[in-house]
Amino acid sequence: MLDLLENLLSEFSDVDYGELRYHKRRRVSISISQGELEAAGSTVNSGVGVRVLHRGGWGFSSTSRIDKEDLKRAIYDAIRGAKASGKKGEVKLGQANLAKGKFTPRINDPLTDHSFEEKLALVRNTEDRLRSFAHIVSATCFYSEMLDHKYILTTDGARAEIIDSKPEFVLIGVAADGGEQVMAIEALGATGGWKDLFKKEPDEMVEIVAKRASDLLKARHPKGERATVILDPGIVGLLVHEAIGHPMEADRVLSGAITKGKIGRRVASEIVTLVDSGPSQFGEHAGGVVLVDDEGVVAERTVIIKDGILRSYLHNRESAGIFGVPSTGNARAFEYSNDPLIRMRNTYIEPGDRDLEEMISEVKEGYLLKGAVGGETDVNAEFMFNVQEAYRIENGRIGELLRGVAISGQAFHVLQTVDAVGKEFRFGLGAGTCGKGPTAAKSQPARVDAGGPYLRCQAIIGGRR
Amino acid sequence: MTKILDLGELAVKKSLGFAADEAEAFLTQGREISVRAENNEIKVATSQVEDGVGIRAFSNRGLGFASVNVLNEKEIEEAARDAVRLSQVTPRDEYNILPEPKPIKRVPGLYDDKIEGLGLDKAISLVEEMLAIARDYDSRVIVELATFDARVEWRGVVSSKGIREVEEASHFFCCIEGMARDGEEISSRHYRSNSTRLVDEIDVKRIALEFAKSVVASLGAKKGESFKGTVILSPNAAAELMMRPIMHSINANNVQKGRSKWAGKLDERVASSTFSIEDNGLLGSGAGSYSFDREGLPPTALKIIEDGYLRTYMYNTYTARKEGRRSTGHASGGARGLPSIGPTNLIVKAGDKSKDELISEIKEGVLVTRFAGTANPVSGDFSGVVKGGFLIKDGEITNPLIETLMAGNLFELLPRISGISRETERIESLVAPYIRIEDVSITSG
Repeated sequence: MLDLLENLLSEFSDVDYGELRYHKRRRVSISISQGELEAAGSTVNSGVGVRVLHRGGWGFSSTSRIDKEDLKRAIYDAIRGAKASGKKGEVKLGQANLAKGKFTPRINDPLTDHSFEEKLALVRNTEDRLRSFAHIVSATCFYSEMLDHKYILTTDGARAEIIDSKPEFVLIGVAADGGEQVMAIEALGATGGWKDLFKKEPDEMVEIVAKRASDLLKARHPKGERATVILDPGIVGLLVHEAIGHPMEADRVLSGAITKGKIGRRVASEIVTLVDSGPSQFGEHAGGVVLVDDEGVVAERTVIIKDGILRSYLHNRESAGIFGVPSTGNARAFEYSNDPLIRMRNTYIEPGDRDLEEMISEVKEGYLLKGAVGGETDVNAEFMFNVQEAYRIENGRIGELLRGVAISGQAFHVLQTVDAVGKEFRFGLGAGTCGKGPTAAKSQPARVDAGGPYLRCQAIIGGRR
Repeated sequence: MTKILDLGELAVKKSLGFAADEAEAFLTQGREISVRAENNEIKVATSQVEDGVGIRAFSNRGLGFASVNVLNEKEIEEAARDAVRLSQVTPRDEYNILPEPKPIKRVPGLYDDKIEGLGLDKAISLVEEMLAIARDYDSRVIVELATFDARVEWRGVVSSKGIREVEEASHFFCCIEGMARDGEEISSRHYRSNSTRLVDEIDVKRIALEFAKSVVASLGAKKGESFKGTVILSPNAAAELMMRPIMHSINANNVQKGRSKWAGKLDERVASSTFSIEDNGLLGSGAGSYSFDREGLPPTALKIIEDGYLRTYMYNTYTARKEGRRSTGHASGGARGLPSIGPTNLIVKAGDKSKDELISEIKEGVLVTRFAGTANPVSGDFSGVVKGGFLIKDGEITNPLIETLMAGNLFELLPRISGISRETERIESLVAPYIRIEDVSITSG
């Protein structure tokens, strides 16, 4: 395949830039809900995506038919697309550390060494155990894995072979009491093998979900107020990915995100340092690990905010050219048939030096929030997230568990109020995907991860909707 | 196309050869061109070719599935082997039986051969036309995104029960999104789209003009007051707010798993008597129509809500068997996954008053043309932002409103529908009128 692609590079001789990306993905998914098998399948998707830049116009084509003639036709289509759409001035691609050679994340205990039967049995038993609790009215468990093999070649020198392995395991329990329902989720996601995924035993996850669902069922709703909150690493991850990370994507900056023109300005408290990294420094097996991006650029550790000051946006080669900086290696495509977009990888706040107990002990009145569920963010960085557990903090001590909590605020204002950064570090967003795309139908999922230490800050706690 | 059917036969034969009791192959071959403009300029022209086959095998009532996007004998054999192997180790489920064939009636107007002559140049000129119309209407208009897609796809189903169907369909889609900017003032963001089966029905002019008018009209927005009162949803807003929870609740899989608010509510009143909704996959040239579903069965014209009464759910074969009934022909999905359940063309029945009459009867209320928020499809709770809202006072539309919050529960709103317009709009595969609802909470920011 590499030789075939190598030979085809000559087809780009009369355009400014050409890129060939072969991507084969094997996926296994198993899902069981209420004792019923909802998915048991294996899919293989492979093909080549071709991208061409010529006189400022981009063309993209893709094909699942990968013999030489079909690939030549795809290249011809992309060239035609670029020529037809190119009416603007030149686009100068930014400098980049182009990848050469083979890139493989460290994989402990490859997923292929575990049989489908073993994975099925694990999902069945886990769902079964959770469902056996009397208060659990609905249990769902799923496992999925994506095994990738890619070659990326560009006319300006990238020649990379990339291997990837991303499993996930998710357990969801719903408990009910009369008309009221509460949900508890535990999710694992990793880049690596079986041992890298199961940092927690499924049995332990069952106990946690069952207990949390039961505790939440008994819990009262909080009242709405602005409060001192301590966010757990999972919620910190959701916050920095959704509300802070997205407006740092250079394409959004160019279309007027609130981060525009803020490089060098203070956007967070001086004890906050925010990073988006392809490899991951803390927790090698984070779910969003990208060694080489889909433009063939070595993915780096990008410091977005250093000590509270905005230092860098996230770039692909085109936006890097516009800003006059090197690409940060954030161009990612979901499959061969998608054109790369600027996406995050592993986004996190660097750990500080505070003990969680100490951070709690200094709070007279507030909340300790745990377990991100999801939520929404507006373009102005206003966010509203639902969290699974909210513990009252009173006079420096953990008190009552409350439920149904939403946390909201303007993300940059919240980051300005951070007054303590914990030293424990965890990634918490490794399962599931983030979607981005021009339209709903063309939205591309991406496996990302995000996390950080415990953070103490000010935010608005919402009661029931 | 016989090639698809031959490959389907091969997949089924191989699966039975690997000792499956039953097997089904769903195949697709698709081509698409697409042009996208961003920030008032053409950004990228795209073309795509993709094939796929999904094989479902049952062994001793155990289920296995495998798919591959390369249609050659070796890959199909590999996928068949995988599907059968998985079906031999998954738990037995007595409802795992493929459907018997049923007569298929061809839905007219699903394929337009004019697509063959529609190339990238024409697609680019259509997007440029959208940009020009929107910008010429008013120079304050900013088009953040405009796209045009043209797609042609063969779908085929072959099964060991004797199903053998194939169909070609074309699909055209355009959309435009953005805002208006006047000095420092930025309007709320608006979106219009159009989805058709026939080239001549693509109306980029109308979409672009409606978009431009709506963003300009929403300039000069004023802050409203928080109130509880009458809201009238445009067809677009009705689609955004109401359809997802309704579709979720009428999906038999959700009903059977206790995830539907409408479980056990058949023949009960769930909406006001003016509200009727039908799903019709047989609609000629309908964007959601097909002659056969993901399992090779014909769709039916299904009255889901009739004069406010819930009459039926939507079924595929598996969920239908669980209740000892027949599929309604709503198996949905592609080659990459198992058949799920989804609507075809959802049609909300038109009322007898005009939109203007409905508005003229409102003393104080809000016209909502776009809703951006989240709705919990299980509980029906929603909250979000009214974009493109207009204040109505004494029967007249007065000023646009600054984005305001709207929250409530959809299932509580349906019985409070007080009027449905004569006028309807097709929004992709949905046909919806203006819908007037009483006692809705609106919170001014």
